[in-house]
Amino acid sequence: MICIIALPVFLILGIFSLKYRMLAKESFECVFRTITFRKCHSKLDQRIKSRVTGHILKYHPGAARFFFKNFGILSWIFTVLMVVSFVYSAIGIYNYAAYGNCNGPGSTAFCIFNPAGNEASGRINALANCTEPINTYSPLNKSATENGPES
Amino acid sequence: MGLNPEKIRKDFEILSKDIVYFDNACMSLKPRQVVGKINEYYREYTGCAGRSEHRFSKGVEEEVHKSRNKIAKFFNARKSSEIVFTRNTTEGINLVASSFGLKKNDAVLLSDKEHNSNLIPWLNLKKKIGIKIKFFKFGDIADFEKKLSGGTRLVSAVHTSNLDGTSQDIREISKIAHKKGAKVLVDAAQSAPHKEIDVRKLDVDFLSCSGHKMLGPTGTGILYGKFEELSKLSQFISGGETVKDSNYDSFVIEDIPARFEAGLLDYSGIIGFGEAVDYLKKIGMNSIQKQELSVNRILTEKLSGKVDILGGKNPESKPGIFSFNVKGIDAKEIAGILNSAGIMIRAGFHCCHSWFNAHKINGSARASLYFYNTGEEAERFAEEMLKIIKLAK
Repeated sequence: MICIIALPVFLILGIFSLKYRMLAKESFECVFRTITFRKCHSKLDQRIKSRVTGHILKYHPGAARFFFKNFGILSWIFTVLMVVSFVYSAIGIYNYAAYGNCNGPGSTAFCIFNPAGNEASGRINALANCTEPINTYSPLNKSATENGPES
Repeated sequence: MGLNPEKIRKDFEILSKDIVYFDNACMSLKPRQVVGKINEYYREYTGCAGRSEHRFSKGVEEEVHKSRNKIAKFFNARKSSEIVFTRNTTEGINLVASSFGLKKNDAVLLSDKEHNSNLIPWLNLKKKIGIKIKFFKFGDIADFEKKLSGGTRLVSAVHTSNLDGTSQDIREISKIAHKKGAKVLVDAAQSAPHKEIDVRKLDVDFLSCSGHKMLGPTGTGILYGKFEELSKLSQFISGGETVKDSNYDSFVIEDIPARFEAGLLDYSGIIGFGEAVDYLKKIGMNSIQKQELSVNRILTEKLSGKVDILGGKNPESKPGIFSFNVKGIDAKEIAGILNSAGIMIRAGFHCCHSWFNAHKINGSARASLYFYNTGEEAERFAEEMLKIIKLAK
């Protein structure tokens, strides 16, 4: 199960290093076999399990034992969390592309793609269009500093 | 007199790292003398042996000749021409398998604990020409005698098993086989680095071993063959340096051993192998075995009853290898966790799939020792193992 998490991680790291490209290939093979209900040959999950256990064992044998014993469940939890997080990210990206806010139309809540909020998003759009003047916060710009930035 | 591992370890630069190297059955570490000798070839006399007339070429020729002599003496061969340089044990066995002249229905007798190197070549011959393969229980002389019926032309058996370190009586096997007219080929990959091998005392017809397991460079090995037996073998790989003369329709074959050493050889490796043999001789094979036994005793004492040991609990019957399993933990997981602690072992089937499959055992973890391993390392290994055992409880 852990290879499902490993695949995107190794794919990204694989851009920079051959070592991770090989691991990405291995994880892909493992994911492919897992989703087609076959046993993974590469034992990548076992290697990850023993490596992580070995590192934890140096500092906390109890935690290492917990990790070792519950590796299967932990893998499932992390896989589900990763899938859920991918789904939410995809929805957020869609909302941002469609409405300029990752939370959907009319929302002013925090958006990771747009941390400054909707107003800043409007400014970025304006910058892109180059049609209206851009009023940014500056201690020298009194009109903007009367009530502080983003007020 | 016992050896001084602390002094010896200074010859192995790689051991200055914070590691415990217990994977010697796969690959031994190399002392600076061997590394220096390999470098010497590249620094001082890089050339082809037996081809050119310049001093580099003559220098290599002389060094290769010296190496062959040293190795012949190390195994107590009658003459140096009985030593054929190969890449490894596997190549030596394949050479005999291909060149022995086996025909359909000829039988080859193997033990049931063979490495794939001494199984697959025969299975291939079974497929290609229809030889018969029979198996006897490893170490069981009565079973060996029973299985050695008429029609067995060759006995090919491992001396020391790489999966658990136990050995079998090759001298007795050879005696019985010869009485029945069969020839004997020995896989000495795991015995040659650890114990004294006297090919004349063992009275074997062929013996194959690897240099990389006995302090030598990788890609080196030898096939020993009684001169009269080597003369009967056909060529294995043919080409450059295996013939004295050639025409468009014929050739004159080289003398032994050159006829089996086709193409340009790994000169630096061969020269390094000679140096490795010198080093082993200096240490003494008995001292080597004693040191391994003392380390294995600590492992057995500390872990006996806590792990399932393969090959029995008596370290004296298997000084170089401590092969084991722990209930609830896969052998590969053990090796992975130990690796994080800087301890290197091997886990899996050790290329003996046939034995593990027949016994329905899913591999093992294997700590394999050499004379540069110490009691402190064994203590460290045992300490880590006790932590690992607790993981599964």
